[in-house]
Parts: sequence; structure tokens; C-alpha cells
Amino acid sequence: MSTLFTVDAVRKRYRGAAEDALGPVSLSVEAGRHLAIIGESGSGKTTLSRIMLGLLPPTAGVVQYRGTPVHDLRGQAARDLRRRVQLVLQDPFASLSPRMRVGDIVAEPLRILHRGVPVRTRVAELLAAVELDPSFARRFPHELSGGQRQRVAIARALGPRPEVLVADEPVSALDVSVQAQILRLLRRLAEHEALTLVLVSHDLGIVQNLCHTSVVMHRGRIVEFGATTELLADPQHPYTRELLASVPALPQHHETIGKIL
Amino acid sequence: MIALLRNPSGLVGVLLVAVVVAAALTSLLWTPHDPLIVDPAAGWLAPSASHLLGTDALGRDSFSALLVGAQVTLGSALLATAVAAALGLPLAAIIELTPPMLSAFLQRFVDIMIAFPTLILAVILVTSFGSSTWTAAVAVGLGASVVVARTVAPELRRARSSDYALLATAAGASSGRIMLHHVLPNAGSTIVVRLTQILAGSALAEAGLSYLGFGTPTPTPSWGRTLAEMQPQIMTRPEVLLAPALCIVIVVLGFNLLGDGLRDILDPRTRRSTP
Amino acid sequence: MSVLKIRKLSVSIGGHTVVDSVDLDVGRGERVGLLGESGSGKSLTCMATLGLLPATARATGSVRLVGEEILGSNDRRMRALRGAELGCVFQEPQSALDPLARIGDQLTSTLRARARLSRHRRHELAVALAARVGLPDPERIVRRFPHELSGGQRQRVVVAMATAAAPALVLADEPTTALDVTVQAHILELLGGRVAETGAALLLVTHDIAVAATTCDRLVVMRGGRVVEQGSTHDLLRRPAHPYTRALIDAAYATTYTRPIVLAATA
Repeated sequence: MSTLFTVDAVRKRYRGAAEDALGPVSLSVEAGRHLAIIGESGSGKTTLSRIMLGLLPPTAGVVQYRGTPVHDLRGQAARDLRRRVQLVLQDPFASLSPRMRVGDIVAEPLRILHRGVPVRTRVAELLAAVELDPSFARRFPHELSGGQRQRVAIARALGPRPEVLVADEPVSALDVSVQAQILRLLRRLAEHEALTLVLVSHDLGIVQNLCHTSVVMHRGRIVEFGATTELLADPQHPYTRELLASVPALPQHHETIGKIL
Repeated sequence: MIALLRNPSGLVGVLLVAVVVAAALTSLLWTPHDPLIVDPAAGWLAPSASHLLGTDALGRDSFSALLVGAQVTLGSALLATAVAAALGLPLAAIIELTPPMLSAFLQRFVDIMIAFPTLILAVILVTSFGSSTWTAAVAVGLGASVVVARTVAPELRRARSSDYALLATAAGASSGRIMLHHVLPNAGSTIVVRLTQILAGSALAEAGLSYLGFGTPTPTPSWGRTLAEMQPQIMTRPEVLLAPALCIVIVVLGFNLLGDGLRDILDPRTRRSTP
Repeated sequence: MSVLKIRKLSVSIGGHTVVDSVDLDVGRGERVGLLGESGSGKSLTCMATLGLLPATARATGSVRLVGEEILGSNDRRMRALRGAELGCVFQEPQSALDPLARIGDQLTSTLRARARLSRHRRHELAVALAARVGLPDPERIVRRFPHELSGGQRQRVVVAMATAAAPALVLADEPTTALDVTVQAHILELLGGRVAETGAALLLVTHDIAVAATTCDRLVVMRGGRVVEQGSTHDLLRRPAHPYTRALIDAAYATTYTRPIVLAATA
């Protein structure tokens, strides 16, 4: 199994801040695995994901993708990283430009990264992959429901056939029934496209349903790391225990247990 | 355009501006009298069939003067706004794109420039380069350019720090592409609305400067100067001041309402349907 | 006798019916969860109960709070009821508190409507209330301003205000949605505890089934402005009768963290 991301002793301190927002943090992401970065607000999970994507420079430390440092990349190498790693954000109301049509939103990464690809057919293909009618290409984001928008955001991310999808709270802004649909879609697509998934989330339910391995972050540090099932069944760090105990849980549900797992 | 006419303020704005544009265009081809012909014998005539709005102290036809004045007003408003946009928009982009230190310095510079009264700037320019409609318009444009920069820069920042701009970066878009495809379209309505407001402001400023004698020089008719020339009559025949004053109100109100209408229709979220 | 009795409540805004003939009862001391997704009409039902419907809304039917008709009642009467008989907790503690008033003054604001107290007595009461809702260092915190508190502490202040006058009903609209999970757990515990101490009934409006299930005895499910199903928490979760409720619960199980005990047994 090959290692995609290697994060080595990465720290981040924002301008004017007295303390580090992150780190030092080290982790690796293996190809084909689904990794969850679990944390509450202020835990540094979003900062870490932005640094991994090369969208934010670290104060110290190195992030490598397939052995190449992701920061200070130029030209073809930078484009290559962008193609291989794509991002989906939490709020589909904010992440789609209100002035672009869905077709152009989905096509944007293709136009930048894959010049010469027949964009129109690929967009239709991508919309179909996220279970949307091709006619959606002509609509504006405000004409779509929250779930439909998040499907558009996912279609857009899949366009360049990435190896890794980084999803930052991909369902937190959605209604419960829509959450379940988007989760199912993500799981299906991840399998179908052999995607490596990095899920950034505070929601243990989502993590439990989507990810093999998890890291738990608290105050900028990784406090626990392991296989998701084991980590949830037998948390070691006091913070992880508190987090698990805090989640309002549903009583056992005999009918559905089988369906989930 | 049809959407603009469906919008109430847009419709009124378009109509008012159209009246002014029509007056300016008509005056290029035809006026009832030559507004420059002086006939002291016919001074201060009351409105009649031949002189719709009467004549001024020198016997020039007031209606013709107002028609020609529309040219001056529109021309100088457009020039001032063009200057404001040509300087202000790049300045806003520079403020937004440069490193924090330089950006902060530029912002303070803009703040200082905003505090500097446009009127005084105009007076300085006019006294150094001579009184002309165009000098006054450039002065007004210079004054407005910093206002454009000040109001557009935060809009650019908002669009640039948005999630969709972040996603574009993550998709490998260059900062130029992000500016062109994401930031400008999303900041666009603010820019357009701001510029129409500056059209209104410039028209008013031209009238003000001409009224004070720093704008359009004699004998070219200008609404502001017409108003000034009619002033001696304010105690005896106040109604003669009404026509030039009303013209100024129409053009300022017209551009402002047009801006409101544009703001409403330029946002796809408030547009009713898509083709 | 019901603390809250809603009969055939319909609310329309701009010709659209957003709440459609809703019947809802909350008994004395009972904890009811009003569940629904966005657009279900749960929030407007809550607003109608508070007498805070937007001016453009038209409401028909009946909303009785401890026997008194609220719908169409005047603002002054509603203000008297809120605080005395009706405590409110909203999603955003930041906007529920006056940014320019000290915590102590806000804590007793729902009380002052009832009795004229000396400044010293008010301070004592504020400190006591702050202590009761678990705010750290009560003597000092009552002198602070809202922005000096964390989100969780602010929501504690709001819960204290809502329950200070021992109202008949506490209405909580998504009280923990804006908070972190660990903070949410504390606030839910506090809310449940305060309601029990004061004998108030609770109407918890939420989109989160797990939150409602851990806090409430009875659940009411709304969709598209109508009540589709109601019943005891236990029965409703296990044997939902309406297909929508079933789908909603299935979705919740598919997205909500389930205790490791279940995982260990089946994984």
C-alpha cells in the first residue's frame, strides 16, 4: 500500500496570535483508506486540512504528497497536485459561486486542469454520477436545494478524477434525511472511483459510517489515532472519552443496525 | 434590459435618464433658438410660445440653454465616472492583492484622500489649468476614484475569501482567473451600482462647480451656471430658477434610481427566472 | 391540565400555508420534542407560541398558554407572559443577550418584571442564579459582559434567565445547534435539570432526533407544516407508524453515532 500524504511535524501560528493554532502534528494517509480528522471548533482540524492541500503555508514542518513537498510547487507540478487532490466544503450555499451556472461550476476544474477534454459531455457524466439530471447544468445554485448543491460540489470535485477527496464537514449543513443520501453517495463514489477520503468532521456518526481510521484532534494536537472501530469502542485519551460520552445517542434500533454496517 | 424596466425604481430611473439623454441628443441637432445669441433688448422675457421658458438677463433663450446644458451635464458626469473607475478599480485591486503592510499604507492614503474635499481639489485644478468643463470633471473623477477604491476593496475581499474562491484555488486556478471568474462577477453588482451613484454625484458636482464659477466657463450653457445667472430673480420671479433646478434633480434622481434598479436585477438570487 | 394547548393552528405567509392545522399539547412538567427538518414549520409553530410571528404572517386557530389565549393577544400582555409563564432559549446565545448589559442585570431581568427588588437583593439573586446554572466564579461573572463569556457560558446565562421566574413552560428552539458536542451535552443536562427543579414543562424544537430523544418524554414530528406523527419517545423511535417518520429515523440511525456496544456486537 502506498502512502499519499505524509505530514511531518507541521505547526501553524496565525499572524498576531500568541499561541500555535496547530501542532506539531504528524500523520500519514495511505492510498485507498478513508481517514477521519475528528475535532470540535478550534481543534485545528480545518487548519490541518488546508495545510495538507497546500492552500495554507505551515509555520514549520513539511507536507509531502507521494514524496513531493506540497508547498512552493510551481507550474506543472502544482497543477498535478491540484488534479490529484480535490476538496468539498461544508456549506454548499457558500461554496458555489452564486453567479455561475451549475454547468460552469462543475466544468471549472476541467477547464483549468484538463484542457481539451470535451467539457459538456464530461459535465453531464459527472452530474449523472451524483444522481442529478443533466438539465441542472443550466441552473443557478440558488435554484437548488441544499442536498442538490452538495451533489454539485461533489460532482465538481470528481471532475479531474482525483486520487484523494478532502471533505470538510460535507454533510453538517444538511437536513438529516439529506445527510444520509449524501453519505451513501460519498461511500458509493469512493468505492467506485477507488478514492482515498480525508474527512474533516466533528460528527462521530458520519465518521463511524465512512472512515476506516481516525485521528482525534484537541487544541491543535492529535490526541488519539487508530482504527475507527477500536478508537470508538475503547478510547484511550480523556478528551476522546469525553467527546464520546457527550454525543447524544439513539437507543439501539434493531431493524436498521443490519443496514448500516 | 427588460428586467430593468420591470423593476419599479429601474423603470423610473431609465425614464428620467432617457429624458436627459434625449434632451442632449436633440440639442446636438436642433434648439428653438441659438442659446448663445445675446439680445439685451429681449432680457428677462416671460415664458411665451417663442421662448418656452422665457429668456435670461442677456436675452438668451432659457429652454435652449437647458437643452444644451444636458450635453454638458451628461458629458462631464460620464468623464468623471470614467476617471473614477479607471483609477479607483485598479486601486481597489491593488489594495486587495498587495501584502498587508503595503495594503494598509494604501488604505490610509485612500482615507486621507477621501477626507480631502473634492471641491477644493477642483478649485486648485481649475486655477492651475484654467476653467473648463473637462478640468472640473477630471477633478470630480479624481475625488470619486478614492471613494470607489474604498468601497470596492472590501467587496473584492469578501469574494476573494469566499468558499468558492478557495475551491477555485484548490482546483488550480490562478489568482488572475479567480479575479476574473469569481471576484469581479460577484463584486460586480456593487461596482456597477457604485458607479451609477458616482454618475449622479458627478452630475451634481458639475452643477455645483459651475454654479460657483469653477466649472463650465461662459458662454457654454450649464445647468449650474444657468441657476447662478437666474439667481438675481429669486425675490421677484422665483419660478425661473425652478427649471434648471428641476433638471439637476431629474438627472441625479434618475441615475440613483437606475443604480437601485441595477442592484436588484444584477443579483441572480433576486432575479425571477432564468432562460 | 395542559400548559400549552394548540388547536388547529395555521400560519400563512404571503399566501403560502407554512403551518397547517397543527394540534399540540404539552402537559404540566412534560418534556416534548418538536422534531422537523428545514421547512417543516416547527420554528413558526414555536414563534406563534411566543407571540413573535413576523408581521407579514397570518395565523388562525388557537394557542392557549396556561388557559390564556395567546393568538392575537397584545404585545404588552405577551411581554408579561414571557418571563413569567414562558421562558425562551434560542439557538444563538450571542444574539439573545444584550451586548451592553452586565450578566447580572440580564440574569434578573426576567425577575424584575415581577417584584421590585433592591439593587443589593438583585445582585444576590443574580449570583445565586449564576451559581445554580454552573457558571464559574459567580461573584465575578455577574459583573462581566456577554462577549467576555464563551458560547457555552452564554447559553447557561440564557437558560438561567429562561427558568429564573419558574415559568410554566420553557420553549427551547435549537438551543444547542450552535454549540460544540461536548458543550451541547452540558447544556442539555442543565436544561433538563433546571426544568425539573422549577417544575416547568419543556418544548424542545430541534432537527436532531438524538438530542430530542435524550431530553424528551414525547416526540412530535412535523413535515411540510403538518404534524405527521406523535407519541412517546420510546414507541416512536421503535415503532414509527408514518413512512416519513420511519425514513427520518432510519436516516438518523445512518448518520448518528451509535454506542460502541452495538458496534462490538455486530462489526
